[in-house]
Amino acid sequence: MSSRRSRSSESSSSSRITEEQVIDLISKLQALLPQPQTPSTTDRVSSAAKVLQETCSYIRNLQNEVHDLSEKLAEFLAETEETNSAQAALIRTLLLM
Amino acid sequence: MKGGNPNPNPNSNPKKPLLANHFIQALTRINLAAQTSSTRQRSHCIKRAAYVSMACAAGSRRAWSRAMLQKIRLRSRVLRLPGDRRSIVSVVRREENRADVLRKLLPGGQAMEFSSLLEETASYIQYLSAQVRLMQTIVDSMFG
Repeated sequence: MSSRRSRSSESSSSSRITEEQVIDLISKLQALLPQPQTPSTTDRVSSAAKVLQETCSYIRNLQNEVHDLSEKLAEFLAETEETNSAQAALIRTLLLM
Repeated sequence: MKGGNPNPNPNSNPKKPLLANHFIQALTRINLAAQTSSTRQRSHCIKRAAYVSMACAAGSRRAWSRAMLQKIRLRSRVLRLPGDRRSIVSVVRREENRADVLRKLLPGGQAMEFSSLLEETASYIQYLSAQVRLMQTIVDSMFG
């Protein structure tokens, strides 16, 4: 098949990747997504489009969590009388890593 | 700090000490400046520190982390390169079009080839979720 051409070391941007490679990469991506509660054999084989869609939602969710957690941390660090306990909590977390 | 983790699970966190180190140092600095900054400023600094620590932990090995560090340092948007749209419709092509949204979400995503985009996304998700877990752990230990 001419699609095999993409596996050679063509440096031009016109080299296409094969469908198998796409499917392989997509399934690796799927493995990183939060898994559904009731995984079944049929559910596991989501379409590539669905995986891409879920990946985008997942990334947006994670970015929103970073935003929300940043706000929480900012509020906690605001309490001046809590500065020492904040420091202690930070050090404690670091030691537990 | 935990030593080398023999767990081959890609979702384990061998990068976690690196992530924690940088982020917690940044939080310490921000904490010391707490009295002179507004909550909103602090929140912004903390969020920035979160992404910087992710990018530093990933280093220059990843296109997304390079793009992110560049973006943060320049405080400007990463340049967009012209899209690669063609008229032939195939399964691969359909997925590339659907990946446009992903390209916008991923730092440096606009310039990547489709296969790189998928690999970079996987890496980005791993670091992003590790960062979220780290921040949640810190919040839990503060409010606990």
